[in-house]
Amino acid sequence: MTPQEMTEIRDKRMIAAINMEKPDRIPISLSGQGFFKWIDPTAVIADMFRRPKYIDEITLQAYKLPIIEEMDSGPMIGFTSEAFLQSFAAMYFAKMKIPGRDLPEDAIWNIDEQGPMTEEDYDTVIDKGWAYMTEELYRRIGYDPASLPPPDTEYMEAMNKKVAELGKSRYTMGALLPLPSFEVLSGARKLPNFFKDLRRMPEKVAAVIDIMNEETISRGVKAIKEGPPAVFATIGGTRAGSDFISPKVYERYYHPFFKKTITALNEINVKTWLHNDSDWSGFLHYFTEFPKKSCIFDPDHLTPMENLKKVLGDYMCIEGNIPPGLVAVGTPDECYQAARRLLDIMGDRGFIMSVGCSVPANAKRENIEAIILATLGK
Amino acid sequence: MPAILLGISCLLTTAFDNIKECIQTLEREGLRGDVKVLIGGGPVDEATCKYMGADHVCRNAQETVEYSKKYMGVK
Repeated sequence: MTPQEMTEIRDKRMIAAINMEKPDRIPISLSGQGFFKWIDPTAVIADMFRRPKYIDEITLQAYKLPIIEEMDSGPMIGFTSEAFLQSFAAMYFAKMKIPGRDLPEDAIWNIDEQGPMTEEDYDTVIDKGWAYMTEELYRRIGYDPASLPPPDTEYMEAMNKKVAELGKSRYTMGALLPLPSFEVLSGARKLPNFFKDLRRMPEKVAAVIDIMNEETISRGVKAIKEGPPAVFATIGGTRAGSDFISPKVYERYYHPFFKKTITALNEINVKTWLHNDSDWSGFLHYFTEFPKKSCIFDPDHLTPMENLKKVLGDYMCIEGNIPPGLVAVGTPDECYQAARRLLDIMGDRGFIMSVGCSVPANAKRENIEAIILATLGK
Repeated sequence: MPAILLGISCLLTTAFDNIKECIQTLEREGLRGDVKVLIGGGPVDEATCKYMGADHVCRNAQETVEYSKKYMGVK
């Protein structure tokens, strides 16, 4: 079978799962950025920045290992890691600490919150808009996208070709949408300040979030419309679980972002992939207001699968939900049993096997193999 | 007054070994028997608790308070 034919089979499998139809088998999306260590155990995370081409090369080798090659998802390679990570951190007006420079050699990169926004800046947003404030906050943290190394498009194209040769699905990662305004603002102010703001000036925070929602959602949806054809687009949420904020706070400050985004994307036939960390059990019912199959829920393992199945099982595909700690320190038997348990709960449709949040950098190869084998029924 | 509860938060699986080392240090210093070690954070679960040698996994802040009050006999 050619890689192109394999990609078609895997794409069909993924699309069936997210449309809640019965695929030929449950898709497996277990991509991790630390798989390179399975090929070269002396390589460290700092090497992703110091010698990225070597890491890309051995990451590709890892995806060709027996059993591992059964995964439907492919690797993320071919981009300049530091530029990508600094842009990612800038979504929170934060900086990224890089292993080997700011952190030990084999540490994972860290988002370092700067909190450049002041209390008075709420009025600035109300007067001048969020786009103005964004530029000003970038200036305060010293973030200048133009000064980042430009992407090596020739190398990226070469890597894309190599990834295509693996015959993986093209539908395991979607276009990235802007972060919910609640998340952005909590980064801009730093979390403790932001929670004090919610108590001391609730109306002002609400007014600013409304402005941010209006500006960022329309921009994000426009980018999806004008970009390559998309099946789904991804939103990340990490600071809004139901064991972290109250329903009252969620309803006023957070959910409107999801509501506007999901509705707007649905109008252009694009699904919303909800990468929601923390325990969302108490908020899952809010997502039943959207048309069936308009979202995919991607938890980090803290929302129990039983709760997801019970509340959202008839509404959307669910990806997950092996605990990431288990693949790092558990045994293959424990991982196999965890995967079997998820398969028993979820049945034969509306499910993508994965590790909650993402596969950690120190995942053991034999544990990932155990999850794959359990999913394949071997 | 010596600590009777020690809470350690963890957001990265790559920090598991550091926390394990921290708990082993308590043992080496003869302090482990006097303190309950609670762990919490996104990637932590029962397997992690066993690996680190901690006493209890707290799923969230509320559970941590409930567990601590019960352990300390606070009503």
